[in-house]
Formats: sequence, structure tokens, C-alpha cells
Amino acid sequence: MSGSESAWLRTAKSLGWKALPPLSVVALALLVWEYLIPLGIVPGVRAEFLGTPSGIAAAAAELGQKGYGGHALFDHVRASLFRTATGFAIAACIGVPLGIVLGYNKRAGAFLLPIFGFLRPIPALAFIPIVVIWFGIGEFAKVFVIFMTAFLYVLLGSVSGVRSVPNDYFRLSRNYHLSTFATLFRVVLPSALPEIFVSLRTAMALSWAVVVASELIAAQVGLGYLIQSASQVYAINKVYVGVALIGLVGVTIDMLFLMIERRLLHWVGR
Amino acid sequence: MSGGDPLSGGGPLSAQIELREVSKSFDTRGGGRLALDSVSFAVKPGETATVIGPTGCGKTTILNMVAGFTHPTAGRVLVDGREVTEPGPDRGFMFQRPTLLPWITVFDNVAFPCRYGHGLGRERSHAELEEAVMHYLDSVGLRDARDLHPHQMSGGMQSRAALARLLIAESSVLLMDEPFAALDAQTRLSMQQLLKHVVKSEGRRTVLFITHDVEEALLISDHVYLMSASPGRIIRHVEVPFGSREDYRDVVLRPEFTQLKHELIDQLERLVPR
Ligand SMILES: Nc1ncnc2c1ncn2[C@@H]1O[C@H](COP(=O)(O)OP(=O)(O)OP(=O)(O)O)[C@@H](O)[C@H]1O
Ligand SMILES: [Mg+2]
Repeated sequence: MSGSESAWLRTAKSLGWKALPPLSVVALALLVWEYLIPLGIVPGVRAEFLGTPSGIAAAAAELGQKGYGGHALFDHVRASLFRTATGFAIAACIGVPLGIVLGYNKRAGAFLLPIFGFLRPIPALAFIPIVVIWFGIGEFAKVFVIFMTAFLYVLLGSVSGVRSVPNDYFRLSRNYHLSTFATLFRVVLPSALPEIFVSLRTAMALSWAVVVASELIAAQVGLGYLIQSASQVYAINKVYVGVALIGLVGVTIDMLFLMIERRLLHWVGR
Repeated sequence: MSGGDPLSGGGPLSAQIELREVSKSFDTRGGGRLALDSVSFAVKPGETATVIGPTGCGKTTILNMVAGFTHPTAGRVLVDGREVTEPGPDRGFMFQRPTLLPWITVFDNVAFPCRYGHGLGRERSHAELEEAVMHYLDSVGLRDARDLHPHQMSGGMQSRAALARLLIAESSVLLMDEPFAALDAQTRLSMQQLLKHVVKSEGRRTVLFITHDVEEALLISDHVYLMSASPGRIIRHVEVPFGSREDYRDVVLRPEFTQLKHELIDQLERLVPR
């Protein structure tokens, strides 16, 4: 018993020793940030614009309790998430089926794909001013920009997924006279699914980046609005908290997609 | 497996493959290039014929035309006396790679042609399908692998599963394009024996087989056709003299076997352009 305990202790100790160097670096950095940087040692930037760890903690507590700009912190997160999810969901619902059809039917693809291929390299942010002119600065404008971003990605990803279905699968389906429906749902879709999923995940990450950007320009609620508005009054610690939150939500969404992907595409990568 | 197979449906399943002066040229940038030049041969019902020849001589092209995936430029391809116009479940195709669908289990892969195909003869009830799948999984030795996914199986097991999927559709013509070429020597030998055993014991399948391997051709077929390099022509027909029911271990020891094998290998080697 004592043997196993000492083994456990040894593992814990060795882990502790391994964690010690990076932790000490972080601790040192925090100490420098907290006590030295406010003394004005960074040339070219006013010390109060750099914030402090304790200031960030206080800002996080304040944002959590009182919210910001008349909205609770959670409402800001929810507003950004809602815009992203709406734009992304509409894009996925149209983009995936359309992409499958355009990838499967060469003639239809030849008509439409060059147009979408031309639009895709245009950064979504370049659409924002156009969309603002068209639709004003309401909810719809932001959802539309996200839709545009995600749609083009998902569509072209689905097309390429269908185009990379092995020719032998199509021959198998022709050999046994499968219906178009069965060919699409039993052969083409599952075979293209891994690539479709990658495009969905990328589109989601892009959408999240774009929602924040679109909120920087015109919004009364949302994480992009929060950091933009806080920065206008030089509340640097609140900006830090907002940026960290944007990152946290982004990582969480991506992990969620990875989890679904692993469940759904159990055969991939084996 | 022997005698009255309860799953065969009773109808006459034997067919005949016939190529009459078939030529095929492909469009290339420099105009048409002749791939096959006036190829003629016939396979009788229940027989296994193998085409061997150097790479690029048009073996796959022949098989694709019988399957209905491509069409001859001149001449006629007949199955059951009718001109081939399109692919169909009366002719099953086994690809060089197993081509199992990786997202479903072995059982579902084998059931696939019956579940989603059309024109495979009679409809099967759920229970009949289950019975048929298990029957063919049994005959290829995969009864215990029914719930595995393709990526959980070895290459040899995947080939067996693909063979079971080929057999379950009850196609009277089996078209096989180097189906065992990617397997190791031992697995290949056991697949050859399995194919020969199944085909001979069912007695109602006509097989057109393609290979690079002279020994494989001699061990599994009744007839071997040797083709010349591009443009492909049939330059030799061998009626294999060893009883197709004989054990391969006895066959390979026969001096006639060794002699015929080396003769064909020599002939093949002289065909390969250096
Ligand atoms: N779709 C095509 N378009 C143009 N040329 C083709 C096409 N398919 C085959 N060919 C040509 O026809 C010839 C015969 O090809 P085929 O695939 O039938 O040869 P093969 O005997 O099966 O060769 P291998 O033993 O390497 O599989 C080759 O020279 C090939 O380049
Ligand atoms: Mg070939």
C-alpha cells in the first residue's frame, strides 16, 4: 500500500516539477505587469492604457455583476451568439443541399459555380458597408453578412466534397440501378460528409469572427459592441475581458463542432 | 453451399458473354488512339475466362464494355445474346480495391445492393435478406465480422466482404478487374480458392476475370486469353487442361502446369516493350 502511495506521490511530484517552470514564468509576468508596468516602463504607451491584472479581475467582476451599456454580460454574449447562429444556420440549410446538387449535377454547377467562386475570395468585411447601405444597421444587416460569409464557404466545401466522391462509388450505384435519391443519400452525402463538416467548422469560426467585426461598426448590444464601446472610453481592462470572452466562446464552439464530428464521422481517419 | 441453394430463386442464371470484333479507340489530343483492335471471344455459361496481358493493353476497357460503363467504337458486345447498352445488376463488377462504404458495417455493405438496388430479381423480405447476407458472409468466412466497419478489417477481410457483396446480387455474370492484385501472396491464394470454390459449387455464374498473374489465371479459369500490348489483340487462347475441381496443391505440382505457366510468362515478357 505504501508502495503504491509513494508511486502516486512521485507522479504528483514530477508533474509539479514540470508545471513549475511555466507557472513561475506566468507568475513573474503577472508581477511585472501588476507592479512595474504601471510605473511607465513601456515607451510610447501611456501606462494606464496597459491595464493591470488586478484591474482586469475587477473589471470582470463588475461586468459580471452590473453588465455593460444597460445589458447584462450574458446578454452581450447571447446577442452575438444569436446573430452568428441565425446567419450560419440559414447558410448551412441552403448551402449544403445546393452545394450537393451543384457538385452532383455538372451542368447546373457550370452555370452557377463560377459566380460563387468569384465572390468567395472577397473578405466578408468588405460587404459590410454595402449591406449597411442596403439594409441599414439593424439586426438583419449583421445576420446577412454572416450568412454571406458562411454560405459561400459551406457551398463550395459541399461541392468539393461531392466532387471527391470516388468514381467507383458512382459505378457501384449505376451497376445496381440505385435511384437518384438513394445515390444522393446513401452514397454521395455520406461520402462527402467529412469534407462538408470541415467546411461547416471553418464557416462557423469565420462567422464568429465576422459577427464581432460587424458589431464593431453598428450595434447596441453584443461582444463586438462591448469592446468597441469600452475602448472609446479607454476602459482597457473591460476591453481585455471582452476580447478574452470572444476567444473563450470561439474555442467552445469549435470544441462542440469537433465533438459532433467525432461522433458523426466515426469512420474518418481510421 | 452445394446443390439446391434455397436462395437462388430457381430461375436460370447462366449467361454468355460474347465479344464480336470489338475495337475501341479513345479521343486524345492527337486524334483517336486505338486501344483495342478487333477483339473476339466468348465465355460459355458457368465458365470462368481470364484475360491476361501487359499493362495498358485494354483489359479494363474490355471489362468496362461488358459492364456497360463504356461502349465499343466498332463491333458488338453481347450478354445473353443481347447487346450491352448500360450497366445492370445482371452483371456484377468487382473493383481492384474492395470499395466498401466505410460508414456502414460489413453486414450493411453486403446487404447494400439488395436494399437500394433495382432489378435484382425478386424482392426479399427483411428476414430473407438477413438470411441471404449471413449465407454469403458465411461462404466467405466472415460470419463473425458482420458488425465490423471496413476500417476495422484487414485487406483480405475487406476483399472477402466485397466478394460477398458481389455474390448476393445474384448476378449471373461476374466481372472482376484484378480484384486480388493488392493482397499479399497468401491471402491472394486463399481468395482464389474461395472464388473458385464458390463459383464451381454454385455452378451458375459466368466469370470474366482480369489479372497480371499467370499462375492465378491458370488456377481459377477454364479459359485464358492472352493479349498483346497496345493496341490490344487476343493473340492466344489456352483451354486450361486441369480439372477445375482439382485441388490447387495437386495442380501446381503437375509438370504440365509448370510448363504452361513458364510458356505464358515468357510470352508475356516478350510483349512488354522495353
Ligand atoms: N478514358 C480514357 N481516355 C483515354 N484513354 C484511355 C481511357 N481509358 C483507357 N485509355 C487507354 O486505353 C488503353 C487501355 O487501357 P486499360 O485501362 O484498359 O488497360 P489495362 O490493360 O487495364 O491496363 P492495366 O493492366 O495497367 O490495368 C491505355 O493505353 C489507356 O491509356
Ligand atoms: Mg486495368
